[in-house]
Amino acid sequence: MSGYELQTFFLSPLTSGLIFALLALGVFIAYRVLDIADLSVEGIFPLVTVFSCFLLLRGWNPFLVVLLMMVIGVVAGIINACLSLYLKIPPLLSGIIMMAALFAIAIILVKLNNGQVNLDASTFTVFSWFSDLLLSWGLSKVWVNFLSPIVITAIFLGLSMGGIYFFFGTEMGLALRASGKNKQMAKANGINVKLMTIIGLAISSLLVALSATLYAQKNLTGSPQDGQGMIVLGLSTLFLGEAIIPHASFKMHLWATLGGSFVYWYIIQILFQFVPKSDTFLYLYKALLLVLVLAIPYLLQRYKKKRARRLVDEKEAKEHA
Amino acid sequence: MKKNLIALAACSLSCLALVSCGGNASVKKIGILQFGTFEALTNAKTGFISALEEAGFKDGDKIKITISNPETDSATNKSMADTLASGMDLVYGIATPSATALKNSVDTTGRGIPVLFSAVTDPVGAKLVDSLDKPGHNVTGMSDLGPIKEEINLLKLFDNIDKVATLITGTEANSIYQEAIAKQVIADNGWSETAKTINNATEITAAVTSIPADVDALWIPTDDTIAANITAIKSANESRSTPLIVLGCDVGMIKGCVVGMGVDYTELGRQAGQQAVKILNGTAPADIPVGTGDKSLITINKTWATALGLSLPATLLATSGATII
Amino acid sequence: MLECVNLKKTFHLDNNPDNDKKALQGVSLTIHDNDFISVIGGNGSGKTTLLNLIAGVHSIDEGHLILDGVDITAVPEYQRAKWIGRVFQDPMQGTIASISLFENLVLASNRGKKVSPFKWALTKEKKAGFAELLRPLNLGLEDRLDAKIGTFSGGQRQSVTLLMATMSTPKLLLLDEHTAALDPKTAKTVMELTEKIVKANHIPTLMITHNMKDAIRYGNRLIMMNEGKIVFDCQDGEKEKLTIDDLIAKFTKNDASLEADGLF
Repeated sequence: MSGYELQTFFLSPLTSGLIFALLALGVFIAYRVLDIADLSVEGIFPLVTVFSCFLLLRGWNPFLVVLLMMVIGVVAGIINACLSLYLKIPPLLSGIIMMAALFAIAIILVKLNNGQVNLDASTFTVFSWFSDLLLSWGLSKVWVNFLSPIVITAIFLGLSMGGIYFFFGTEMGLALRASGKNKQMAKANGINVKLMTIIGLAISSLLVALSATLYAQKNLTGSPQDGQGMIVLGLSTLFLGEAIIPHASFKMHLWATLGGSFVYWYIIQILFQFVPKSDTFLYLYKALLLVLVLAIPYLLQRYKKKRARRLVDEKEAKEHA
Repeated sequence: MKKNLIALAACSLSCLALVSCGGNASVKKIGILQFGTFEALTNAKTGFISALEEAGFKDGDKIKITISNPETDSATNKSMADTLASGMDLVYGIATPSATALKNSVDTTGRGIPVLFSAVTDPVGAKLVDSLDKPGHNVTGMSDLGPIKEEINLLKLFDNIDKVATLITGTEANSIYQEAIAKQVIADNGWSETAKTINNATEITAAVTSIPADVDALWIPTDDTIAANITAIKSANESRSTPLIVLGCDVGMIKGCVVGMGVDYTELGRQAGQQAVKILNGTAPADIPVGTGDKSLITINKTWATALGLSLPATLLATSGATII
Repeated sequence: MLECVNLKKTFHLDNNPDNDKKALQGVSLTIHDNDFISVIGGNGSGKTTLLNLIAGVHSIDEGHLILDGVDITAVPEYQRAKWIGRVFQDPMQGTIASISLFENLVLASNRGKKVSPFKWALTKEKKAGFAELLRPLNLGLEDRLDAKIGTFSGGQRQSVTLLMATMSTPKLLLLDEHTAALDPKTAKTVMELTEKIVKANHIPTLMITHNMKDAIRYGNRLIMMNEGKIVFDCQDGEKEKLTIDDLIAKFTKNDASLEADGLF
């Protein structure tokens, strides 16, 4: 393997892992904390990637774009929550409705742009800003191109994780978690469960939007197809994280999700590079590998228990002999 | 849990060690990134490989070909592009998202390897090249923009044309670009447009049958989803009270078109392959203008037209070079 | 003081009006500040519905609820929690199993207050305060504040729920068969704890129970419900003289089918 290939092998999944960890955290808050199956993720993601590129192409400041996208995420989350809370639409359906609506807006934006919204290397993005900074400090271009996405994403991820950890340790955060775990108990303890749901979905959608805008700014492209499979990706990452660290506390759960994201992308990378025929059977391999990774902790536990039983039985047999 | 992580890390590192580094430096590694499994894109791939073979570049001999297909998943597409860009000597992206990802990944690595594309309708708008004549950097290829103006103008040979419908898949940027062109041509001819957009193949039948009865023709672009489901167009048109004169921009769609004019993706792929041969023999991509395929390919489906009850004007049937089936 | 004025509630199981369940058919009841009321009655008599209506779980079809002179008929459930404490029959319902005892107690301590997104929920002061609150229970729970509630026994959980429901001295305590799922020894412990807390804090209490002994032994007032109405209300002096046989007689007088409920 050449130096470039090694570099890509280690750094490309790292970057993907970081960006999609944000997505996974958003999915975590909706699915695990609030216990809501939120499908709007598949609509928020493409709308934000397309809209981000659309604005950047027209000269908007990338940091402003990030801020605006987070606001869009919050608004989407609020609307989604209100649809199910106040119009009595089942949450699964309200997520689908949001997905369809946001997807349609993304397509309209592509039409307005007369085709796929692609940026060129000279477009000002949060990453190019940092790259220029690094270049002015004297680093070589190749390293700058690889480090820039990692550092910037890591900063956003760190701020987000810190924010989530802080917020869920506050009184409101605790109330929100209670709302997701036992609505009846929460209400009996004076918690406005509806408001908590709205705030929770807003936070979840904000994280998804943040992930999407970083994704778009890194890849310099936005397309309505970007949402495909995002829920499966987010959930797979979540489950992988939970397999790695089972029964985690809230804090550990955040780290587990991050870990799960890295594991997922490194698995994908290994598949591409080393497993033959991966282009035909890629999705099959992905599924098999996920089954393996998820089943191994369980199988290991069973093996351990059996072994412990066997040792105890042998010990007793010796004592009786 | 730590055991799992360590096991995984050990596994991947040993995999790395097992991979034989190096290899023959004179064997050129060619990476193909095909965005999804659609007939048009697969044809563009096959044509490419055949053209290379015909010029003496056989897979396993002077070149080694790696094929990747993300099945329209954009995150996977990007990962695959990164991997190919880091290890190949030349890459070929089929469809705009794959070509875009490859170009950006190559830029990131700074290796400057040549990037070829095909099945991209608007290479300039997609920021792949500076202009069709002078691509400008390390990217060139084949545009699949069909002869939209000439094709829609064929309708002038018919009597009483007033309204023309257009059908595109909303997620395909290429189609959006082509529809804008078609819209203009239709307006220039003094006709009115009925625009229909679908999100996926299941909506084709509803879209076609809901076109009002007084519309005369239906124009479809080089659209992967529609091309893959051309039989749906065919049945939907047959179930209408008044059939539409279907114009398709891809001769591969002739099953469901009355007239198919323009792109043959296998041929497009071949021409991209011929560009690759030039590059392998030393020409710089910046010196190879973007090709636009053979525009004069025209096929007329007289059998189906007759079955639909449409009478085709003699002037149309007399078009030189037309294949009539 | 809580005044229930002519409460009516009907549940529509489907579109057929013949299948409507008339859970409450005009219940009027005044709960005074020194009342500890035992509520008995057969299944389907409306006891739980009455409790749920007071708590705000269901909306009231007709009638009013007046708490200390304020009409709370339209106030949503979570806002009524400010004044009303509840212990459920299912020990799993009153607490959250997957979080710690400490966290559960913090939730209860914020009942009726605005939750702040800026104040840290788990503070050292609160922890010390809770330890002192738990000590008199003699269950050793003060040492297990960081343990997840899921590791506690049913009796321990009900004790905790009781504590949580009475932490900020509510205006009314609602107990929905809260010892029914416990073994007799633990049930006795929890009942004694209940009496102790209610007496010490002077909390008006409404307790549903299927246990005749408990209904007679605890509280100053006894109400029997049947078919959505109060059919018997025995207060203060008379209640002390009640025996189980009296109650049985009342039951059978009101509805022969109640014997089949296997209450005694």
